[in-house]
Amino acid sequence: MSGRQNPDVWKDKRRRAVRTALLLGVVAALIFVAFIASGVIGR
Amino acid sequence: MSDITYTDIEPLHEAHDEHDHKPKGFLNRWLFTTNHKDIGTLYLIFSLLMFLTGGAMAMVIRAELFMPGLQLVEPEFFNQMTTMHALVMVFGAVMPAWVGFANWMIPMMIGAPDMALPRMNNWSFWILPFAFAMLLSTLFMDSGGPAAGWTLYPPLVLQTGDSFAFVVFSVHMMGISSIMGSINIIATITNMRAPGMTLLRMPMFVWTWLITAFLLLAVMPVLAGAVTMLLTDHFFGTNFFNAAGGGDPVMFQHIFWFFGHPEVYIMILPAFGVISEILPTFARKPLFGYSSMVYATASIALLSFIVWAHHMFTVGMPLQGELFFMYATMLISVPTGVKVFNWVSTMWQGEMTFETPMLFAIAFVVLFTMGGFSGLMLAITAADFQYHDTYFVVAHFHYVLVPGAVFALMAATYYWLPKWTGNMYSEKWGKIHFWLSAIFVNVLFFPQHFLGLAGMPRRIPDYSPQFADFNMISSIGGFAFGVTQLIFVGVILHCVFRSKVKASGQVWEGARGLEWTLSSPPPYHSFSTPPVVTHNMVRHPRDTDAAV
Repeated sequence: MSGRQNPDVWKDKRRRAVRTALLLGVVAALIFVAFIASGVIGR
Repeated sequence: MSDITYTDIEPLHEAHDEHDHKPKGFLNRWLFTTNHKDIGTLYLIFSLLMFLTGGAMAMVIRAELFMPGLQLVEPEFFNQMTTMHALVMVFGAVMPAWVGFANWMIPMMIGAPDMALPRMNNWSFWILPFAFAMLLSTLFMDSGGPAAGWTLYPPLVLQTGDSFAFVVFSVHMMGISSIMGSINIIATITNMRAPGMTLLRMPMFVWTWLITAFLLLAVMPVLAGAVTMLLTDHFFGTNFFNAAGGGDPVMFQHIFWFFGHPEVYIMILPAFGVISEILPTFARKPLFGYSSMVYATASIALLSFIVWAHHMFTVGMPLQGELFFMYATMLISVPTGVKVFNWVSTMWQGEMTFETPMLFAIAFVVLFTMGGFSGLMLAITAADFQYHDTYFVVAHFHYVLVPGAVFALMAATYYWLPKWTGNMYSEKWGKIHFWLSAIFVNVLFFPQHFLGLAGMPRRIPDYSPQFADFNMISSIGGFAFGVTQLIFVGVILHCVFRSKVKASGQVWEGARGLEWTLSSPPPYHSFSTPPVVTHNMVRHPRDTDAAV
């Protein structure tokens, strides 16, 4: 979101969105590792 | 025509060029952009280029199959064409097109000023051209491109030469792009909705994209894991899928299809959302069964995780496994049926008009359902042993993806193009494009059912003379369908650059939702002050559902 846009209104929402994104990124990384592990165990 | 008009809705935000704050200069505007509308446009232009690239490959395939015998290309190159056509169409055309629509529409539909993470949004897009440049470059390498099909099954795919590393890296880049895009969409929808935009007030396109984004997030890392193991098998001496080294090639199929089946829904769920937007607009009725549509979409997404092995009935699974995957697959027809019946009920007794988006949407409902029925046939384990790896499968998934996902993309383009550009497209040429597409897509794909039932295998450059007639008809349909899409390109270019007919903010009389409260084209930064969403702003006047 550009700084030109009303930062007061959207700042909190954006901060929460960053936290959501970090959490989802960790989930994606764990799924990747889990499936490589399934390959190691599965063979 | 309806007796209900929506002229009481005035645009809340007019476009004022002096307040647009567009970045100056071409590079600043397009390379470094963080604006959701610009990034949406970039995605859509990229996907159109990939449609034309993948379409050109399809023309090579249909030209070679025009007659029995080897005519135009070497068999190895033919196999590279089938593989690249699928990879380009799936990852380069359909998926980025939906992400483009998501970028353009989701912030405007939920009353947000932009996506939640605009810089990551820029990165998500700009990874893609490099990924596809790398993938397509393999066609010019000594070892040639991948030729084992888009499913990349080992051990065949491990025969790819050194270009295989480029293929795997490009798949990784596409995956990173998709994961970042899906994270952005989830973060935006869950955090950036305007006051009053409750979950059950969200437009169906937003709902279907939220569910699609969760699917993407769950399965793209699985694909990344699978191709990483292929990479290490190829270059680093591991034996994940090498039977001689104690590995199991069938394990790859399980992992791939655990990604691959949800991937099918990733391409079709946003289409469901678009059709659920368009039908109520042109039927001038509220969407029948809104909440059941939401639950049906979520059910389809959940079921997509437990049906993957119906792609591999012939590998020799235990009978109980085959029965489980057969019944689980058939179960998907229940929520899908809910959707189809709701769409028909939405049109029932509606005051319909048949503008181009509506024509494509109705064709979607009819032809996608046909693709669904052939899918049910393929789900029957015993019958699948006959159909497996034949042109029946090719006919099935092309019915789901071309008059399914691609028709929905075209419907969405005609529906929202006037909103984006402020110009109306040529209705006459839009309808010509529709009718030629609807006719030739059936000429192209319907005979392939017969070819498959008669036993013609897929992914072959030559075939027995008994299949000649249907192949010739299919190829003629293919060439005509391909040429017809040039009309689509022409209509878009004319609308953007030459059209003199201006669109109002409302555009379509029966349309409801926040995006229609903006001017056409919308201002560069929309909803910098959040709108307060009320029931009347997002729902049709005839909608008596007061629960939301």
